[in-house]
Amino acid sequence: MKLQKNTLLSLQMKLSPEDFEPATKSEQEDLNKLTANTSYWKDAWRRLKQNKIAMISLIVIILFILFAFVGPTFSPYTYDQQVRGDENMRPCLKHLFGTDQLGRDLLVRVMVGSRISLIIGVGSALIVLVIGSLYGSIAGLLGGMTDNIMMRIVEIIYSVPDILVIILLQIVIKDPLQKAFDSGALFGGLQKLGPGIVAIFIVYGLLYWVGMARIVRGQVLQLKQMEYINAATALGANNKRLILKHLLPNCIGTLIITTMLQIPSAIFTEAFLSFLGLGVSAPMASLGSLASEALNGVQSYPYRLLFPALAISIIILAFNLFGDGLRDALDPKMKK
Amino acid sequence: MGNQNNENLIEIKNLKKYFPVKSGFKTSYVKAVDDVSLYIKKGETLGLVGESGCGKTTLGRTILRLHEPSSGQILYNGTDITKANMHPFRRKMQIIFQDPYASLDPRMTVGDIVGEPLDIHKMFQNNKDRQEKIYSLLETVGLNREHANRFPHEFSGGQRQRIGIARALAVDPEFIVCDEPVSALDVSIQAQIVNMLEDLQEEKGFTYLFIAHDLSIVKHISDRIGVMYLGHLVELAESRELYKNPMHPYTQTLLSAIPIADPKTSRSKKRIILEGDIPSPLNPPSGCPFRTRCPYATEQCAKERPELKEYEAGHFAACHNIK
Amino acid sequence: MAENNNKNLLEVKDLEVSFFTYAGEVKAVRGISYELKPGEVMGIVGESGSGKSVSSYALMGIIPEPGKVIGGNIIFDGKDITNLKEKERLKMRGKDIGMIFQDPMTSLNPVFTVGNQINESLKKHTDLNKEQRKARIIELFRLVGINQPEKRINQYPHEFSGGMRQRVMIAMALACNPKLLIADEPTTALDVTIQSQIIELLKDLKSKINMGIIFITHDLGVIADICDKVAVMYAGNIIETGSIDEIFYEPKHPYTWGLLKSMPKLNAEEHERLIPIEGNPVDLINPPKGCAFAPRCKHCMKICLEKKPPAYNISEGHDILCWLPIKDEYEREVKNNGKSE
Repeated sequence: MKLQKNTLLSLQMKLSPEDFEPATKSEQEDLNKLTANTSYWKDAWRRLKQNKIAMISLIVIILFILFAFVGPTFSPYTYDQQVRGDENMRPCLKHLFGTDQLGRDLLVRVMVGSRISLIIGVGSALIVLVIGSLYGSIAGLLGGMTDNIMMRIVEIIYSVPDILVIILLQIVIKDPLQKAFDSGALFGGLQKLGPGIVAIFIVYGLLYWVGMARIVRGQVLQLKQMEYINAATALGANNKRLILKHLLPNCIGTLIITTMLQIPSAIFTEAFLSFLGLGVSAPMASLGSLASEALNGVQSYPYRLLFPALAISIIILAFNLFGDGLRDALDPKMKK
Repeated sequence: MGNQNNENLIEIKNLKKYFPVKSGFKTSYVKAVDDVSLYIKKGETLGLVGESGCGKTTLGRTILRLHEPSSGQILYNGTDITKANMHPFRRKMQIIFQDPYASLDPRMTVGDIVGEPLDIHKMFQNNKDRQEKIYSLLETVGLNREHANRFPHEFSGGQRQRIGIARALAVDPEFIVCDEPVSALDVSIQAQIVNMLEDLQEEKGFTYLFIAHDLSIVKHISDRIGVMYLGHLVELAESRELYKNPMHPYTQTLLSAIPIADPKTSRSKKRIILEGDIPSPLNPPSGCPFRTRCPYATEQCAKERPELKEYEAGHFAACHNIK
Repeated sequence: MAENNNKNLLEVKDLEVSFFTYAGEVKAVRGISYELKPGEVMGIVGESGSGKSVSSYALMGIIPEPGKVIGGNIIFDGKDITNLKEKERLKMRGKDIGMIFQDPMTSLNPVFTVGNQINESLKKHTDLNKEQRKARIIELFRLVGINQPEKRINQYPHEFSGGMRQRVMIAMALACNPKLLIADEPTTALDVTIQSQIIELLKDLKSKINMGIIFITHDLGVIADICDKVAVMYAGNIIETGSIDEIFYEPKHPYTWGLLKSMPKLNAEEHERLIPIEGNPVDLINPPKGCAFAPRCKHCMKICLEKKPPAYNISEGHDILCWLPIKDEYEREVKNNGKSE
């Protein structure tokens, strides 16, 4: 709107003397409010919700967790219960997934197996997270010679053929572990899981953190250029504070994503090891050992292989797709 | 401008900071700060101007030992801190940064950012006192206590700069390096921050090292001004004296290059336009660093580096051609 | 209204640009109008977020996602270019309108020689042959003051310093003799001594080439140096526009007053305290319903909080968006009415 010259104002708009009274300070300040802003997490959640595949994967993962942890309580059988007379049954109403040659209900065994696989997946990923992120951030922050030596160690571990080491380690540590288990409460809560699983954790702790360490180091190298790190240094913050309060919290997106993608890889490795007979010990079941057992009669009873294999595929696919979606949501820059 | 007495709070002697640059097997050095000596009196503001890459920011950070000096000496209140454990001195010397976006940790609330120095130096045993201190700091810089629970990205540039200042004030420092504190801010906000820095100085007797590339702001806030070029201090004088009577040809150019918000003056003003660009600090010219662009350069300038000499009381310059 | 002695090169009418983000509509440009004649240099000055850059991106049709022109017209050389198709825009961009940016490094492709990049633009928009194009590039380099142009055209962007890169950008923008040059903060990233080189160059070009220039900056000093007229932007509006002398010596808008006063004077004898504009920039998602500057204005009145001010013409070519002069005129009218009755 533009005012015309030489035309009375009163003809162009309605005005009153009160309009031109000075405004009070508080009236002015009322206009000056900080509007609520979205936080990092809300923002990420919003982006995640838009990603249909990731949301479906998330639902699948939740259902799977329920299946594995709550499912067995609704089953009339336990995983090691041998039902006489029900040996080698095909899937039917009594045993939805059928039974094995000892008469154990396969449904409950797949549930318990999934539980073990999930525990191994999450547990190993957490071990990798702790070791990898600390190692990587220390190397990145200190830099120079320390970084050089630490990263050479990482490269050496990288270059070792991992399956070979796993098999070797499994054999070497299995006996001392078994002894430790027998001798008492050395491992506390781990006792229930059995030495096989603990061995897998140890292997993971020794071998698989290197990827995480590299990623975190790269991120820390970038972050330590940031001015707020200088600011904290100028305030007298020591390295421990820099890592725990500033560097790692600012890597959180990467940490979550990498951990999330580590879970399926750990599940897969466990399945693979159990398949080779190196994983959990009977009568405990994992998805891998179930598949391995099923091989014996695969021609007569293909469903024995089908169900655990399907479970492995679904769980790995769901975690991978969800991890990808999470990456897009937490770190939009990484999308390319 | 602060009140002055003759005690030197900061004294640096022949300070050098070289950054190694590796290319293949050869290591060359960027001479970011090359043989700079100066002092800052208690309660005064020393301004430091120069173009990008002249080493003014490196100098400020080396004084705080955020970079380790390559050689030379830094004295704080008479104590040599060149090799000392800096932890106790972190409470005395603080810094305000240029970029109000990068200098605040995005994952911390404003309260935690301002409270961090209190935690590092364990200044409060009890959480309630700590919280009160944070509130009072926020109020000192013109924010209010409700802001403590918010995150930095919710604030505008000027407000963020206030948060950065509150953080620096938390340890009750004596000396503050202001590293281009207003360069990233809008003109209308710059004046708010400059005024606040002046008020704080008056109230608490701070000593400032004020680094900026904008000579008009530096002249406004400083008692004395040092001009840097390629890692060297080329002129140092009381601020009005420097403006009225610039001795070094580089200072003269710098003064004439400043665009003035006054069309009549700029129409009549004759600019000194320098030929060429600033040489790379990796490969600085021999002798006087400014000689490659200096209109008065002679043979002598290529041969020897001019010393910083006192030509008038308190007015130092490093040039062979000053009579 | 201004009498048109010669035709306007560019007319912008009630241009509105919004960014549609998930948090809401960000009204970056809220209805701005201006005219530019050939050979004229107009400065657009404003703070970050004032919409000064976005308004010129609209001219080029390069508003970044998720922004959109939602109202108004842009008439360039007698033709409405507000909603041109991408194909026609490509023809126009670089040929009729040239643009230089704040950061020359991001607008030059690092893997091609600078000569190659200018050559591309010439090839697209002119029918010069290979030799002629090379000659033109060398001529352009001479024009923008690059020494040894024959050698320099075969170099890559990283071999140029910041100031020289900006010269290359200018040469590139001028390659096809554009009628309009948009300079978006061309000197902000440069050091003062380099900045003065570039300003001198642009001033020199302005006298040599008869093209319109829109010069966007936040630095009033640069504006004073190079422009004929100025538009001051605040929160997506042009709140004051006038000739350079009018803006600097007879500013009428409180924001313009504030801007001029908040800058330290280099020639001040005594230490003068700066007079800042209090408060913070407006939130463009929820702009105040009245005048956008009202929350920070020292002269704020009741009406300013309620109603957006209409454009008020102070003198020819000098318009402002403020209730203050309307208040004076209203009071005069009331007084006169009293007398006549």
